[in-house]
Amino acid sequence: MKKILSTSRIIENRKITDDTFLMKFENRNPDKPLPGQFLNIKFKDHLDPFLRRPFAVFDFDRKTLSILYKVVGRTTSMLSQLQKNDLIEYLGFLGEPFDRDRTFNKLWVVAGGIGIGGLHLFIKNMKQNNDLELFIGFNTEEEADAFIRFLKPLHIRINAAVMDPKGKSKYFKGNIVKLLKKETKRCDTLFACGPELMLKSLYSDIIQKKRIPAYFSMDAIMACGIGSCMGCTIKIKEKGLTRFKRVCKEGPVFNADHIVWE
Amino acid sequence: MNLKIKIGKAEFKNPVFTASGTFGYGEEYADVFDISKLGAVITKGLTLKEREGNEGLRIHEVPCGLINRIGLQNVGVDDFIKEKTHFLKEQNAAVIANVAGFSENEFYSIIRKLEGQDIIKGYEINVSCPNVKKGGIEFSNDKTLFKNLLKTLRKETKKILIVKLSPSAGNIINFAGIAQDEGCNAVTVANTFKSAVIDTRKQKIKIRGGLSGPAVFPAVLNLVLEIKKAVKIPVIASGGIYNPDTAIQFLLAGATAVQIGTANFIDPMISISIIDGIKKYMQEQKINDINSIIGKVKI
Repeated sequence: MKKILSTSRIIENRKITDDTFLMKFENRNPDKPLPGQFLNIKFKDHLDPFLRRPFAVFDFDRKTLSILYKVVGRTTSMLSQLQKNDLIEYLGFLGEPFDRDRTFNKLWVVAGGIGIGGLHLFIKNMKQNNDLELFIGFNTEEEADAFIRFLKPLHIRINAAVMDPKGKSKYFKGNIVKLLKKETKRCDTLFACGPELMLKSLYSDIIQKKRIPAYFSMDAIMACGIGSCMGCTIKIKEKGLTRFKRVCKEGPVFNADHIVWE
Repeated sequence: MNLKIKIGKAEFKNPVFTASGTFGYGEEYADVFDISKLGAVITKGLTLKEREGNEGLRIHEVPCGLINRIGLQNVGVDDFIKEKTHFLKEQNAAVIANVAGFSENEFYSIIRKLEGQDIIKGYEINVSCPNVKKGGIEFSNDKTLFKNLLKTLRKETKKILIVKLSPSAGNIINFAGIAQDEGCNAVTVANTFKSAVIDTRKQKIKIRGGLSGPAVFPAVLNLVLEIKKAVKIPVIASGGIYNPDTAIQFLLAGATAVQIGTANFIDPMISISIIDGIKKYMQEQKINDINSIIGKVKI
Protein backbone atom coordinates (compact mmCIF):
# COMPACT_ATOMS: atom_id res chain seq x y z
CA MET A 1 0.00 0.00 0.00
CA LYS A 2 1.27 3.46 -0.83
CA LYS A 3 2.41 5.30 2.27
CA ILE A 4 -0.05 8.15 2.55
CA LEU A 5 -1.04 10.41 5.41
CA SER A 6 -4.48 9.28 6.54
CA THR A 7 -6.94 11.29 8.62
CA SER A 8 -8.41 9.11 11.32
CA ARG A 9 -11.08 9.54 13.97
CA ILE A 10 -10.21 8.64 17.57
CA ILE A 11 -12.35 5.87 19.00
CA GLU A 12 -10.87 5.74 22.49
CA ASN A 13 -8.04 7.39 24.46
CA ARG A 14 -7.88 5.32 27.63
CA LYS A 15 -5.73 5.84 30.72
CA ILE A 16 -3.79 2.73 31.73
CA THR A 17 -1.71 4.39 34.46
CA ASP A 18 -1.27 8.05 35.50
CA ASP A 19 1.02 8.71 32.55
CA THR A 20 0.32 5.85 30.09
CA PHE A 21 -2.51 5.80 27.57
CA LEU A 22 -3.91 3.46 24.96
CA MET A 23 -5.25 5.33 21.93
CA LYS A 24 -7.45 3.51 19.45
CA PHE A 25 -8.39 5.11 16.13
CA GLU A 26 -9.82 4.21 12.74
CA ASN A 27 -7.67 1.96 10.59
CA ARG A 28 -7.49 3.51 7.14
CA ASN A 29 -5.08 0.95 5.67
CA PRO A 30 -6.26 -2.07 3.67
CA ASP A 31 -3.00 -3.92 4.40
CA LYS A 32 -2.02 -5.38 7.79
CA PRO A 33 0.70 -3.99 10.04
CA LEU A 34 3.45 -6.49 10.79
CA PRO A 35 5.10 -6.86 14.19
CA GLY A 36 7.89 -4.30 14.58
CA GLN A 37 6.26 -1.76 12.28
CA PHE A 38 5.24 1.68 13.44
CA LEU A 39 3.15 4.73 12.63
CA ASN A 40 4.09 8.40 12.39
CA ILE A 41 1.35 10.42 14.08
CA LYS A 42 0.53 14.13 13.89
CA PHE A 43 -2.20 16.50 15.00
CA LYS A 44 -4.45 17.54 12.15
CA ASP A 45 -3.86 21.08 10.82
CA HIS A 46 -1.10 21.81 13.34
CA LEU A 47 2.29 23.26 12.45
CA ASP A 48 3.38 23.12 16.07
CA PRO A 49 4.22 20.44 17.19
CA PHE A 50 5.86 20.23 13.75
CA LEU A 51 7.31 16.76 13.23
CA ARG A 52 5.25 13.60 13.27
CA ARG A 53 5.93 11.33 16.24
CA PRO A 54 6.69 7.60 15.81
CA PHE A 55 4.69 5.03 17.79
CA ALA A 56 4.75 1.26 17.40
CA VAL A 57 1.53 -0.41 16.29
CA PHE A 58 0.38 -1.87 19.59
CA ASP A 59 -2.54 -3.79 18.12
CA PHE A 60 -4.99 -3.72 15.24
CA ASP A 61 -8.04 -5.23 13.63
CA ARG A 62 -9.78 -4.57 10.34
CA LYS A 63 -11.33 -1.33 11.63
CA THR A 64 -8.95 -0.03 14.30
CA LEU A 65 -5.31 0.65 15.10
CA SER A 66 -3.96 1.30 18.57
CA ILE A 67 -0.82 2.78 20.10
CA LEU A 68 0.41 2.70 23.68
CA TYR A 69 2.17 5.88 24.76
CA LYS A 70 3.61 7.57 27.82
CA VAL A 71 3.28 11.29 28.55
CA VAL A 72 6.88 12.52 28.57
CA GLY A 73 6.58 16.06 27.21
CA ARG A 74 4.36 18.62 25.53
CA THR A 75 3.33 16.60 22.48
CA THR A 76 2.43 13.41 24.34
CA SER A 77 0.57 15.56 26.88
CA MET A 78 -1.44 17.08 24.02
CA LEU A 79 -2.11 13.57 22.69
CA SER A 80 -3.46 12.49 26.08
CA GLN A 81 -6.02 15.31 25.97
CA LEU A 82 -7.57 14.21 22.69
CA GLN A 83 -11.03 12.72 22.96
CA LYS A 84 -13.30 10.36 21.12
CA ASN A 85 -14.16 11.73 17.64
CA ASP A 86 -11.17 14.10 17.55
CA LEU A 87 -9.07 13.70 14.41
CA ILE A 88 -5.43 12.74 14.08
CA GLU A 89 -3.30 11.98 11.02
CA TYR A 90 -1.05 8.98 10.64
CA LEU A 91 1.47 7.64 8.14
CA GLY A 92 1.88 3.90 8.04
CA PHE A 93 2.91 1.21 8.06
CA LEU A 94 6.58 2.06 8.41
CA GLY A 95 9.80 0.20 9.11
CA GLU A 96 11.08 -3.32 8.55
CA PRO A 97 9.06 -5.89 10.49
CA PHE A 98 10.42 -8.61 12.77
CA ASP A 99 11.11 -11.85 10.92
CA ARG A 100 7.90 -13.75 11.65
CA ASP A 101 8.78 -16.95 9.87
CA ARG A 102 11.44 -17.98 12.31
CA THR A 103 10.57 -20.25 15.22
CA PHE A 104 12.41 -20.37 18.50
CA ASN A 105 12.70 -23.04 21.16
CA LYS A 106 12.68 -20.47 23.90
CA LEU A 107 12.03 -16.80 23.27
CA TRP A 108 12.44 -14.05 25.85
CA VAL A 109 10.79 -10.71 25.31
CA VAL A 110 12.18 -7.91 27.51
CA ALA A 111 10.36 -4.61 27.91
CA GLY A 112 11.34 -1.50 29.85
CA GLY A 113 7.90 -0.25 30.92
CA ILE A 114 6.36 1.53 27.91
CA GLY A 115 8.70 -0.55 25.69
CA ILE A 116 5.90 -3.16 25.74
CA GLY A 117 4.20 -0.91 23.17
CA GLY A 118 6.81 -1.95 20.63
CA LEU A 119 6.59 -5.66 21.48
CA HIS A 120 2.88 -6.36 21.98
CA LEU A 121 2.06 -7.21 18.37
CA PHE A 122 5.22 -9.34 18.16
CA ILE A 123 4.16 -11.29 21.26
CA LYS A 124 0.65 -11.85 19.86
CA ASN A 125 2.13 -13.19 16.63
CA MET A 126 4.83 -15.35 18.13
CA LYS A 127 3.22 -16.90 21.22
CA GLN A 128 1.30 -19.62 19.33
CA ASN A 129 4.29 -21.32 17.77
CA ASN A 130 7.00 -20.47 20.27
CA ASP A 131 7.77 -20.96 23.95
CA LEU A 132 7.65 -17.27 24.92
CA GLU A 133 8.16 -15.46 28.23
CA LEU A 134 7.87 -11.71 28.97
CA PHE A 135 10.21 -9.85 31.32
CA ILE A 136 9.04 -6.32 32.07
CA GLY A 137 10.39 -3.60 34.34
CA PHE A 138 8.39 -0.91 36.11
CA ASN A 139 9.09 2.05 38.38
CA THR A 140 6.31 1.40 40.93
CA GLU A 141 4.04 -1.38 42.13
CA GLU A 142 0.95 0.56 41.03
CA GLU A 143 2.36 0.70 37.51
CA ALA A 144 3.15 -3.03 37.59
CA ASP A 145 -0.36 -3.92 38.84
CA ALA A 146 -2.04 -1.79 36.16
CA PHE A 147 0.09 -3.14 33.30
CA ILE A 148 -0.20 -6.77 34.33
CA ARG A 149 -3.99 -6.44 34.46
CA PHE A 150 -3.90 -4.72 31.07
CA LEU A 151 -1.69 -7.44 29.53
CA LYS A 152 -3.71 -10.35 30.91
CA PRO A 153 -5.44 -11.04 27.56
CA LEU A 154 -2.04 -12.09 26.17
CA HIS A 155 -2.13 -15.21 28.40
CA ILE A 156 1.64 -15.50 28.64
CA ARG A 157 4.03 -15.90 31.55
CA ILE A 158 5.02 -12.43 32.83
CA ASN A 159 8.03 -11.82 35.07
CA ALA A 160 7.88 -8.33 36.53
CA ALA A 161 10.53 -6.25 38.26
CA VAL A 162 9.77 -3.07 40.18
CA MET A 163 12.44 -0.42 40.87
CA ASP A 164 10.87 1.11 43.92
CA PRO A 165 8.31 -1.05 45.68
CA LYS A 166 6.99 0.16 49.02
CA GLY A 167 8.01 -2.36 51.63
CA LYS A 168 7.49 -6.05 50.92
CA SER A 169 6.43 -6.62 47.32
CA LYS A 170 5.04 -9.50 45.32
CA TYR A 171 7.38 -8.36 42.53
CA PHE A 172 11.15 -8.66 42.16
CA LYS A 173 12.79 -5.54 43.62
CA GLY A 174 15.21 -3.85 41.21
CA ASN A 175 15.45 -3.24 37.49
CA ILE A 176 14.73 -5.79 34.81
CA VAL A 177 18.41 -6.43 34.07
CA LYS A 178 18.97 -7.32 37.74
CA LEU A 179 16.10 -9.82 37.50
CA LEU A 180 17.56 -11.36 34.36
CA LYS A 181 20.98 -11.68 36.03
CA LYS A 182 19.40 -13.93 38.65
CA GLU A 183 17.59 -16.00 36.02
CA THR A 184 19.12 -19.44 35.74
CA LYS A 185 17.00 -20.57 32.78
CA ARG A 186 18.28 -19.88 29.30
CA CYS A 187 16.63 -18.72 26.10
CA ASP A 188 17.71 -19.13 22.51
CA THR A 189 16.76 -15.59 21.37
CA LEU A 190 15.89 -12.34 23.09
CA PHE A 191 13.84 -9.38 21.79
CA ALA A 192 13.84 -6.11 23.69
CA CYS A 193 12.40 -2.62 23.60
CA GLY A 194 12.85 0.14 26.16
CA PRO A 195 14.95 3.11 27.29
CA GLU A 196 18.47 3.34 25.88
CA LEU A 197 20.09 2.90 29.32
CA MET A 198 18.17 -0.34 29.85
CA LEU A 199 19.13 -1.68 26.40
CA LYS A 200 22.81 -0.82 26.92
CA SER A 201 22.89 -2.53 30.30
CA LEU A 202 20.89 -5.50 28.97
CA TYR A 203 23.42 -5.88 26.19
CA SER A 204 26.60 -5.65 28.26
CA ASP A 205 25.39 -7.52 31.38
CA ILE A 206 23.21 -10.26 29.90
CA ILE A 207 23.37 -10.62 26.11
CA GLN A 208 27.11 -10.28 25.64
CA LYS A 209 27.98 -12.27 28.77
CA LYS A 210 25.60 -15.14 28.06
CA ARG A 211 26.08 -14.89 24.25
CA ILE A 212 22.36 -14.76 23.51
CA PRO A 213 21.27 -13.85 19.96
CA ALA A 214 19.23 -10.68 20.48
CA TYR A 215 17.27 -8.00 18.61
CA PHE A 216 16.41 -4.51 19.81
CA SER A 217 13.56 -2.32 18.61
CA MET A 218 15.11 1.15 18.54
CA ASP A 219 13.64 4.61 18.89
CA ALA A 220 14.68 7.84 17.12
CA ILE A 221 13.53 11.37 16.44
CA MET A 222 12.16 11.28 12.90
CA ALA A 223 11.39 13.78 10.19
CA CYS A 224 10.27 12.00 7.00
CA GLY A 225 9.70 8.52 8.52
CA ILE A 226 10.19 6.85 5.14
CA GLY A 227 13.95 6.81 4.69
CA SER A 228 14.70 9.87 2.59
CA CYS A 229 15.97 12.57 4.98
CA MET A 230 18.69 10.64 6.92
CA GLY A 231 17.60 12.27 10.18
CA CYS A 232 16.99 9.15 12.28
CA THR A 233 20.23 7.23 11.78
CA ILE A 234 22.13 5.09 14.29
CA LYS A 235 25.57 3.56 13.94
CA ILE A 236 25.55 -0.09 12.96
CA LYS A 237 28.65 -2.28 12.64
CA GLU A 238 28.20 -5.17 10.27
CA LYS A 239 30.85 -7.36 8.58
CA GLY A 240 33.56 -5.06 9.88
CA LEU A 241 32.01 -1.89 8.40
CA THR A 242 30.45 0.85 10.51
CA ARG A 243 27.64 2.72 8.76
CA PHE A 244 24.72 4.91 9.63
CA LYS A 245 21.43 3.03 9.17
CA ARG A 246 17.96 4.52 9.22
CA VAL A 247 15.77 3.54 12.18
CA CYS A 248 12.68 4.22 10.02
CA LYS A 249 13.81 2.13 7.05
CA GLU A 250 16.43 -0.52 7.88
CA GLY A 251 15.02 -0.55 11.43
CA PRO A 252 13.45 -0.13 13.87
CA VAL A 253 14.61 -3.65 14.75
CA PHE A 254 18.37 -4.27 14.69
CA ASN A 255 20.62 -7.12 15.71
CA ALA A 256 21.85 -6.11 19.18
CA ASP A 257 25.43 -7.17 18.34
CA HIS A 258 25.55 -4.63 15.52
CA ILE A 259 24.51 -1.54 17.44
CA VAL A 260 27.34 0.90 18.15
CA TRP A 261 26.32 2.86 21.24
CA GLU A 262 27.29 6.55 21.38
CA MET B 1 -3.89 26.10 -18.75
CA ASN B 2 -0.10 26.25 -19.00
CA LEU B 3 2.08 25.43 -16.02
CA LYS B 4 5.31 24.98 -17.96
CA ILE B 5 8.27 27.16 -17.00
CA LYS B 6 11.74 27.58 -18.44
CA ILE B 7 15.11 27.94 -16.81
CA GLY B 8 17.79 28.57 -19.42
CA LYS B 9 17.12 26.09 -22.23
CA ALA B 10 15.45 23.60 -19.92
CA GLU B 11 11.70 23.35 -19.78
CA PHE B 12 9.84 21.97 -16.77
CA LYS B 13 6.25 20.73 -16.74
CA ASN B 14 5.37 22.87 -13.71
CA PRO B 15 7.15 25.13 -11.20
CA VAL B 16 7.00 22.70 -8.26
CA PHE B 17 10.32 21.05 -7.45
CA THR B 18 11.35 19.06 -4.36
CA ALA B 19 14.26 20.42 -2.35
CA SER B 20 17.59 18.66 -1.99
CA GLY B 21 17.98 16.65 1.19
CA THR B 22 14.29 16.13 1.83
CA PHE B 23 13.50 13.74 -0.98
CA GLY B 24 16.49 11.38 -1.13
CA TYR B 25 16.95 10.22 -4.72
CA GLY B 26 13.22 9.85 -5.19
CA GLU B 27 12.89 6.12 -4.46
CA GLU B 28 11.09 6.35 -1.12
CA TYR B 29 8.58 8.89 -2.46
CA ALA B 30 7.77 6.70 -5.47
CA ASP B 31 5.98 4.62 -2.78
CA VAL B 32 3.79 7.64 -2.12
CA PHE B 33 3.01 9.17 -5.51
CA ASP B 34 4.07 9.32 -9.16
CA ILE B 35 7.20 11.47 -8.98
CA SER B 36 7.04 12.24 -12.71
CA LYS B 37 4.23 14.67 -11.81
CA LEU B 38 6.76 16.99 -10.18
CA GLY B 39 8.38 19.82 -12.11
CA ALA B 40 11.68 18.37 -10.93
CA VAL B 41 13.29 16.26 -8.25
CA ILE B 42 16.44 17.82 -6.85
CA THR B 43 18.66 15.03 -5.59
CA LYS B 44 20.28 14.74 -2.21
CA GLY B 45 23.62 16.62 -2.33
CA LEU B 46 26.13 14.47 -4.20
CA THR B 47 29.73 14.51 -3.08
CA LEU B 48 32.72 13.06 -4.89
CA LYS B 49 33.11 10.22 -2.40
CA GLU B 50 30.37 8.57 -0.35
CA ARG B 51 29.78 10.43 2.93
CA GLU B 52 28.53 8.93 6.19
CA GLY B 53 27.22 12.20 7.58
CA ASN B 54 27.33 13.59 11.11
CA GLU B 55 27.44 11.72 14.40
CA GLY B 56 25.07 12.61 17.19
CA LEU B 57 21.77 14.45 17.03
CA ARG B 58 20.86 15.21 13.42
CA ILE B 59 17.43 16.83 13.69
CA HIS B 60 15.66 18.97 16.25
CA GLU B 61 12.14 20.34 16.06
CA VAL B 62 11.47 24.01 16.77
CA PRO B 63 8.09 25.79 16.64
CA CYS B 64 6.95 25.51 12.99
CA GLY B 65 10.28 24.23 11.81
CA LEU B 66 13.30 22.06 12.04
CA ILE B 67 17.05 22.40 12.60
CA ASN B 68 19.13 19.81 10.78
CA ARG B 69 22.79 18.80 10.72
CA ILE B 70 22.61 15.68 8.59
CA GLY B 71 26.11 16.29 7.26
CA LEU B 72 25.51 15.42 3.61
CA GLN B 73 25.15 11.67 4.08
CA ASN B 74 24.97 10.42 0.49
CA VAL B 75 26.07 7.50 -1.68
CA GLY B 76 28.62 9.59 -3.61
CA VAL B 77 28.40 10.48 -7.30
CA ASP B 78 29.70 7.14 -8.64
CA ASP B 79 27.12 5.05 -6.79
CA PHE B 80 24.43 7.57 -7.65
CA ILE B 81 25.16 7.00 -11.34
CA LYS B 82 25.40 3.23 -10.90
CA GLU B 83 22.44 2.66 -8.58
CA LYS B 84 19.99 5.55 -8.62
CA THR B 85 19.76 6.92 -12.17
CA HIS B 86 18.10 3.81 -13.61
CA PHE B 87 15.19 4.10 -11.21
CA LEU B 88 14.77 7.82 -11.94
CA LYS B 89 14.71 7.06 -15.68
CA GLU B 90 12.09 4.35 -15.15
CA GLN B 91 9.94 6.77 -13.17
CA ASN B 92 10.28 9.36 -15.93
CA ALA B 93 11.30 11.95 -13.37
CA ALA B 94 12.83 15.31 -14.27
CA VAL B 95 16.06 15.51 -12.28
CA ILE B 96 18.39 18.27 -11.15
CA ALA B 97 21.54 17.06 -9.41
CA ASN B 98 22.53 18.94 -6.27
CA VAL B 99 26.30 18.97 -6.14
CA ALA B 100 28.39 19.53 -2.99
CA GLY B 101 32.16 19.86 -3.18
CA PHE B 102 34.81 20.67 -0.61
CA SER B 103 37.18 22.20 -3.15
CA GLU B 104 36.86 23.62 -6.64
CA ASN B 105 38.35 20.42 -8.03
CA GLU B 106 35.71 18.29 -6.35
CA PHE B 107 32.84 20.29 -7.85
CA TYR B 108 34.49 20.09 -11.24
CA SER B 109 35.05 16.30 -10.97
CA ILE B 110 31.47 15.63 -9.90
CA ILE B 111 30.07 17.61 -12.81
CA ARG B 112 32.41 15.91 -15.24
CA LYS B 113 31.06 12.53 -14.12
CA LEU B 114 27.41 13.61 -14.38
CA GLU B 115 27.62 15.50 -17.65
CA GLY B 116 26.99 12.42 -19.76
CA GLN B 117 23.85 11.46 -17.83
CA ASP B 118 20.84 12.47 -19.94
CA ILE B 119 18.47 12.08 -16.99
CA ILE B 120 20.14 15.12 -15.36
CA LYS B 121 18.68 18.37 -16.70
CA GLY B 122 21.04 20.54 -14.74
CA TYR B 123 22.98 21.16 -11.55
CA GLU B 124 22.22 22.97 -8.33
CA ILE B 125 25.53 23.97 -6.77
CA ASN B 126 25.62 23.79 -2.97
CA VAL B 127 28.06 26.56 -2.02
CA SER B 128 27.39 26.27 1.72
CA CYS B 129 30.19 23.70 1.96
CA PRO B 130 33.51 24.67 3.50
CA ASN B 131 36.40 24.90 1.05
CA VAL B 132 38.94 22.66 2.77
CA LYS B 133 41.77 23.96 0.57
CA LYS B 134 41.12 27.52 1.73
CA GLY B 135 40.94 26.96 5.46
CA GLY B 136 37.35 25.82 5.53
CA ILE B 137 35.71 29.08 4.54
CA GLU B 138 32.43 28.44 2.82
CA PHE B 139 32.25 29.24 -0.90
CA SER B 140 29.03 31.10 -0.11
CA ASN B 141 30.89 33.47 2.21
CA ASP B 142 33.77 34.54 -0.01
CA LYS B 143 33.07 36.47 -3.21
CA THR B 144 36.35 35.51 -4.88
CA LEU B 145 36.02 31.79 -4.20
CA PHE B 146 32.36 31.93 -5.23
CA LYS B 147 33.10 33.78 -8.47
CA ASN B 148 36.02 31.56 -9.45
CA LEU B 149 34.04 28.41 -8.76
CA LEU B 150 31.13 29.47 -10.96
CA LYS B 151 33.48 30.66 -13.72
CA THR B 152 35.10 27.21 -13.80
CA LEU B 153 31.85 25.28 -13.65
CA ARG B 154 30.14 27.35 -16.31
CA LYS B 155 32.80 26.27 -18.82
CA GLU B 156 32.34 22.63 -17.83
CA THR B 157 28.70 22.13 -18.61
CA LYS B 158 26.12 22.64 -21.31
CA LYS B 159 23.35 21.84 -18.87
CA ILE B 160 21.65 24.49 -16.74
CA LEU B 161 23.63 25.78 -13.77
CA ILE B 162 21.80 26.91 -10.63
CA VAL B 163 23.55 28.09 -7.50
CA LYS B 164 21.90 27.67 -4.07
CA LEU B 165 22.62 30.82 -2.08
CA SER B 166 23.17 30.97 1.67
CA PRO B 167 20.98 33.39 3.62
CA SER B 168 23.59 33.44 6.39
CA ALA B 169 26.29 34.83 4.11
CA GLY B 170 26.72 38.57 4.20
CA ASN B 171 24.83 40.32 1.45
CA ILE B 172 23.15 37.54 -0.49
CA ILE B 173 22.09 40.08 -3.13
CA ASN B 174 25.72 40.62 -4.16
CA PHE B 175 26.23 36.90 -4.53
CA ALA B 176 23.11 36.65 -6.69
CA GLY B 177 24.62 39.37 -8.90
CA ILE B 178 27.92 37.47 -9.21
CA ALA B 179 26.01 34.30 -10.14
CA GLN B 180 24.26 36.21 -12.90
CA ASP B 181 27.53 37.73 -14.14
CA GLU B 182 29.20 34.31 -14.29
CA GLY B 183 26.48 32.92 -16.51
CA CYS B 184 24.40 30.94 -14.02
CA ASN B 185 20.93 30.17 -15.31
CA ALA B 186 19.21 30.65 -11.93
CA VAL B 187 19.75 31.09 -8.21
CA THR B 188 18.01 29.14 -5.47
CA VAL B 189 16.91 31.41 -2.65
CA ALA B 190 17.80 30.02 -0.24
CA ASN B 191 19.59 27.34 1.75
CA THR B 192 18.86 26.92 5.48
CA PHE B 193 19.55 29.59 8.11
CA LYS B 194 22.38 28.92 10.56
CA SER B 195 20.75 28.26 13.93
CA ALA B 196 21.33 26.94 17.43
CA VAL B 197 19.55 25.55 20.49
CA ILE B 198 20.96 25.30 24.01
CA ASP B 199 19.96 22.55 26.49
CA THR B 200 19.39 24.60 29.62
CA ARG B 201 19.50 21.61 31.96
CA LYS B 202 22.88 20.41 30.72
CA GLN B 203 24.01 24.00 29.96
CA LYS B 204 25.43 22.84 26.65
CA ILE B 205 24.71 23.25 22.94
CA LYS B 206 21.92 20.86 21.98
CA ILE B 207 22.27 21.40 18.23
CA ARG B 208 23.75 23.80 15.71
CA GLY B 209 22.51 23.40 12.18
CA GLY B 210 20.30 24.76 9.44
CA LEU B 211 16.81 26.06 10.19
CA SER B 212 14.01 25.34 7.72
CA GLY B 213 10.24 25.04 7.65
CA PRO B 214 7.27 27.41 7.84
CA ALA B 215 9.11 29.50 10.48
CA VAL B 216 11.47 30.88 7.79
CA PHE B 217 8.89 31.57 5.07
CA PRO B 218 8.41 35.32 5.57
CA ALA B 219 12.19 35.88 5.72
CA VAL B 220 12.82 33.95 2.50
CA LEU B 221 9.90 35.66 0.74
CA ASN B 222 11.51 38.99 1.54
CA LEU B 223 14.85 37.78 0.13
CA VAL B 224 13.12 36.74 -3.11
CA LEU B 225 11.52 40.18 -3.43
CA GLU B 226 14.88 41.90 -2.87
CA ILE B 227 16.88 39.63 -5.16
CA LYS B 228 14.32 39.94 -7.96
CA LYS B 229 14.84 43.67 -7.80
CA ALA B 230 18.59 43.14 -8.34
CA VAL B 231 18.89 40.33 -10.92
CA LYS B 232 17.17 39.29 -14.13
CA ILE B 233 17.98 35.56 -14.03
CA PRO B 234 15.29 33.24 -12.66
CA VAL B 235 15.00 32.76 -8.91
CA ILE B 236 13.96 29.39 -7.53
CA ALA B 237 12.41 29.97 -4.12
CA SER B 238 13.08 27.50 -1.34
CA GLY B 239 12.11 28.15 2.25
CA GLY B 240 9.09 27.33 4.31
CA ILE B 241 6.39 26.56 1.75
CA TYR B 242 3.67 24.57 3.50
CA ASN B 243 0.58 24.98 1.34
CA PRO B 244 -0.47 26.26 -2.11
CA ASP B 245 -0.82 29.84 -0.84
CA THR B 246 2.82 30.10 0.28
CA ALA B 247 3.98 28.63 -3.05
CA ILE B 248 1.86 31.17 -4.95
CA GLN B 249 3.23 34.01 -2.81
CA PHE B 250 6.73 33.04 -3.98
CA LEU B 251 5.64 32.98 -7.65
CA LEU B 252 4.00 36.41 -7.31
CA ALA B 253 7.20 37.69 -5.67
CA GLY B 254 9.14 36.67 -8.75
CA ALA B 255 10.15 33.03 -8.31
CA THR B 256 10.11 31.08 -11.58
CA ALA B 257 9.93 27.85 -9.61
CA VAL B 258 9.58 26.77 -6.01
CA GLN B 259 11.08 23.97 -3.94
CA ILE B 260 9.11 21.99 -1.41
CA GLY B 261 11.42 20.72 1.31
CA THR B 262 10.63 20.48 4.99
CA ALA B 263 6.91 20.45 4.19
CA ASN B 264 7.41 16.88 2.92
CA PHE B 265 7.67 16.00 6.61
CA ILE B 266 4.22 17.42 7.28
CA ASP B 267 2.64 15.37 4.50
CA PRO B 268 4.58 13.28 1.99
CA MET B 269 2.02 14.16 -0.69
CA ILE B 270 2.23 17.88 -0.09
CA SER B 271 4.01 18.70 -3.37
CA ILE B 272 1.14 17.13 -5.33
CA SER B 273 -1.40 19.07 -3.21
CA ILE B 274 0.54 22.22 -4.02
CA ILE B 275 0.49 21.53 -7.78
CA ASP B 276 -3.27 20.94 -7.52
CA GLY B 277 -3.65 24.08 -5.41
CA ILE B 278 -1.80 26.19 -7.98
CA LYS B 279 -4.10 24.85 -10.74
CA LYS B 280 -7.16 25.68 -8.63
CA TYR B 281 -5.85 29.23 -8.03
CA MET B 282 -5.29 29.70 -11.76
CA GLN B 283 -8.85 28.54 -12.49
CA GLU B 284 -10.32 30.83 -9.85
CA GLN B 285 -8.24 33.81 -10.99
CA LYS B 286 -8.83 32.98 -14.70
CA ILE B 287 -5.08 32.70 -15.35
CA ASN B 288 -4.13 30.74 -18.46
CA ASP B 289 -0.38 30.80 -18.15
CA ILE B 290 1.55 30.52 -14.88
CA ASN B 291 4.26 32.77 -16.34
CA SER B 292 1.84 35.69 -16.30
CA ILE B 293 1.81 35.83 -12.50
CA ILE B 294 5.54 35.37 -11.93
CA GLY B 295 6.90 38.61 -10.53
CA LYS B 296 3.56 40.39 -10.52
CA VAL B 297 4.26 41.73 -7.03
CA LYS B 298 7.30 43.98 -6.66
CA ILE B 299 8.87 46.11 -3.95
